[in-house]
Amino acid sequence: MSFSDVRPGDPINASNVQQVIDALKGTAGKGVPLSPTAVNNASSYALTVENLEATNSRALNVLKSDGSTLIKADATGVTLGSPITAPAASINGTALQNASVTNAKLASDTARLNLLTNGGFEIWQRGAGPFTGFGYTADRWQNNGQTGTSVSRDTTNQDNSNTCMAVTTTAASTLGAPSQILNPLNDLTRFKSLTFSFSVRLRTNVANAVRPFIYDGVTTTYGAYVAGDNAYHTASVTMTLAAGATVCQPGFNIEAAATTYVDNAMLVVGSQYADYAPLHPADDLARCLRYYELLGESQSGEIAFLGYGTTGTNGGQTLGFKARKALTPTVTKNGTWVVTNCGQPAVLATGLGAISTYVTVTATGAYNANNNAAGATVSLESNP
Amino acid sequence: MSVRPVYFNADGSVAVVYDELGHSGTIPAAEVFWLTNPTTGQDDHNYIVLDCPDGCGARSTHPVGGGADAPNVQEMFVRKVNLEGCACNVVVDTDPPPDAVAHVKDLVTAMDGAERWALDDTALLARLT
Repeated sequence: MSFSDVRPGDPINASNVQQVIDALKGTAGKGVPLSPTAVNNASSYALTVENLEATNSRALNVLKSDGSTLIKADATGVTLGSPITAPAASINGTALQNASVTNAKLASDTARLNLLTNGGFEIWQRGAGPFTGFGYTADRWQNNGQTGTSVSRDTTNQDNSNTCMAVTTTAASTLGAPSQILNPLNDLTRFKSLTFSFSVRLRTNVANAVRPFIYDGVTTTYGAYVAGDNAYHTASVTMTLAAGATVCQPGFNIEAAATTYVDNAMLVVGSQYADYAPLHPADDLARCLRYYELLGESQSGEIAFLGYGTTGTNGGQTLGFKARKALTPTVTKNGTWVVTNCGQPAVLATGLGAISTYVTVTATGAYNANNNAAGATVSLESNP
Repeated sequence: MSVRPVYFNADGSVAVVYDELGHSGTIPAAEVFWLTNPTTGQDDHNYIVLDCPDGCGARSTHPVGGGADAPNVQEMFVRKVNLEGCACNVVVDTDPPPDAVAHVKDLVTAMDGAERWALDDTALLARLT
């Protein structure tokens, strides 16, 4: 029912006045909401409401049918009901109070610092596998040795990258897949009591088989299982480390016989997980070298001990590391090196940035030991 | 990871694996060597040398801090000191197991810091006796 216009000279009937009263009172079935669309004035607002009471200045209160607030305007400001819908790109950042947007309010595509080493599973200095049993696989990713678990580098099923990790399990297990332990010496003391979010891209062919976790040495917190539809899904879990945490160990469990592909993992501080953001390849490799590196792998004969000696004397040299190690490393001379008039190279002492090595002369004359042989390298490994 | 210990037998021999080539085997106690300084001829209690039992030529020199595998490497040092005494003779073979544990723990601390110790002392002593 709409209002009836009253023209000059028209008699004013009680029904006309009642029509206005009904509209103002909101009488059911009578009148219409105020809709002053015919206002034609460039300087005045179509509707202005002012409460002259100075303390509260309660000017406007618009309610939903259930009595909750749609719009309220008073001395405390403007309160709006939920949800607030605004046109795209219509809110200027200057409207926000400085330092008021928390990390949790930012979406997963916000770039965050990845605390993992080799989160993209791109670096496999120990080879492509398959790896079975307890030990390291892709750099920094440790397999716990569950029987029937095999881990390999995979270049066919990756998720928008060059490589991923393929894990096959042949039986149900409770701890069947790799995880990464942050260095308790250098890292954990700064991490205790912080909240971490771990996210990883997982693809598997069995439902309710694979889920992410974080373990802190006291408790394990799990994320949800990923679907078994053989498509990549982002799995995530958030955990606040206990004050007595001894490790910060994010990983993923594979709890059934399955084929699983793993790629692009992130561990960030805060309750919001982050989408994977790759490091520059140089930085990615540098992180890995802190824990494991090979010397002499790029060219046969790259490392050589040359000299002239008499039987029983020693010729030594210092081999510098590509990257300073997190801890004193285990040094492994791999393979049988080519030697003339001397024994195989041996280690004298190990440091964080270099090792002292030597050969012992076995026959007087020019001696030579070099790694010009298949698989002849030196590996350095310091694991947290 | 390296030629590394994975199991310790009562006679002092050590089961090892060499991950890179998938080799494995058992090294007799007499072949679990201290690193020897070629100039002085002195054994160095900071390092133990393990040769791959497969004969492939691989040799790992493990630091007392643990290197590639802190729990197993540290236990290897403790067991060697407990079995035959330390290269430095601070602990001898007749000393009780806690002395071996304490001495190796000191060496670990000196090399990589106190937080590097990765073993549960009680459980370790139970395994030694």
